[in-house]
Amino acid sequence: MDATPGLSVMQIIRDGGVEELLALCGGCCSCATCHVHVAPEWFDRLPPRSRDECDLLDSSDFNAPTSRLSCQVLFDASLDGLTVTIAPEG
Amino acid sequence: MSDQVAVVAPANPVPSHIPPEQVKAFDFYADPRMSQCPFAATATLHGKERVFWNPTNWQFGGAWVLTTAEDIRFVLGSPDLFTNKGEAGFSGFVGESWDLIPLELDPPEHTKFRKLLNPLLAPPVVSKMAPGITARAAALIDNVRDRGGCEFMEAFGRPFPVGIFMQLMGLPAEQTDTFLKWEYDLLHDPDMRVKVGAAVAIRDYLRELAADRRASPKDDIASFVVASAIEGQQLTDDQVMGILYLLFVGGLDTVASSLGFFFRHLAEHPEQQEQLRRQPEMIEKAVEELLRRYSVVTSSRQCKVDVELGGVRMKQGDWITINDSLASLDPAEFARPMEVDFDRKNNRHLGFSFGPHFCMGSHLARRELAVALREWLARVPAWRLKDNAPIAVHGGGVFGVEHLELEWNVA
Repeated sequence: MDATPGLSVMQIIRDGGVEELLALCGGCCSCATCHVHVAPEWFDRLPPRSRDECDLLDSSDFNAPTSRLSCQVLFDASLDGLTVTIAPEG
Repeated sequence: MSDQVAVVAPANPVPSHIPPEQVKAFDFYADPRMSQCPFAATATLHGKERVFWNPTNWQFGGAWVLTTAEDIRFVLGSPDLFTNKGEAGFSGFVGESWDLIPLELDPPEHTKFRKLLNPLLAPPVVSKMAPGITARAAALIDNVRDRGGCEFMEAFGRPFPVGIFMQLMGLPAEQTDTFLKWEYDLLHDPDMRVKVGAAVAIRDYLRELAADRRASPKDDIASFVVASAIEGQQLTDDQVMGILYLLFVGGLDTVASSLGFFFRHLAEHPEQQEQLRRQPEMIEKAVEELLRRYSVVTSSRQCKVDVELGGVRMKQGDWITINDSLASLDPAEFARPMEVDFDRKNNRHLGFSFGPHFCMGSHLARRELAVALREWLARVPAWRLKDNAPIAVHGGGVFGVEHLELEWNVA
């Protein structure tokens, strides 16, 4: 998927035409419907999760050690090649 | 308390575990300031008690009111501590006990129903609806454009979103006025007998609708719901009622209410109206900012356990009022909160709530609001409030606009 630096990973996934990502709140860290599992080799290269992001992820049955809300991950050139899997809803 | 607030509803007895200094009456329905501007009224609560006990709550006899975005997000994001069960209570009005679904369910039950229903209003569905939404807006505007003015709510604010939603649900357009009346009575009338009458009428209508779609399915949400199953189990009659009821009350007037406030705002701020006319690419951001400035919904949660929050001790069973506008207008979170700034950064508003119950219809609502602004700005010259015309707004469970006269120059 082509990615524009400066956009969130959520926007990149949605702009790429993947409609499975609900992203209900539109990217303001309010709903946990843009939950992804980041490939382990990439996870540590992302900035840490905020408390609000952790709280929202806690409410998911599919919260995993490499879970992120994709609206909270800002894409830049250093993340070229980033691999994520959309988490199941719930 | 020092800052006395006008009280209209009789205050109920205060439970013994609540000290008197934590009690303050604020009537979200009938405070006279609600009929001027409900948002200015709620905003007066900021910067005082972080949390207070409000004995005028009509629904539960009293409830805690949270005034900060931080506390509101905490409660909305902690379904393990605070339940949604019974928060609207409509089934109780009619002597039944079903839950509004998914609203009155907590995870993990809630999650199963969200999974079932989310696709109904997901981005691909809304994209497919877009041409119809635009055409509907254009047709309604063309009805009034050459008249140089209109009563906005009747001409556009109500028929635009309500028509779209009724079609999606499978409700007959010719009964729009009846449905709006029921909904107004249920959500906005302070008289319990009126509320109950409306609750019964809606229940009876939806029961008939479900029976009809079981017998002869159509391409609409009602037909989808009656044919649905979760984990291999066909939905029960109560579950079908809970889902249809929530869609009915949730879908009919929230967008209409927002449109009323948005169009009043732009009438009173010609420079911002002009900016959007010149820069239509700003409309999406403007919608987000207007959703923040005018967050119309109030909901409730009940403590599952004893909780200490914001310096008060809440007891298991206590109810909490979640007024979204108190979060969206919190000065601790938003600089100059009453000011509309289309360029506002980090606009983490609560216009669609927060957490697991985040509004399921948000994609459709945002699209409708943006299309409404875009089509009006493209088709109608600068609109303003009609001189000396009355404006009617109200507080309550969903803040709204009943009457708004606009006018513009006709070439």
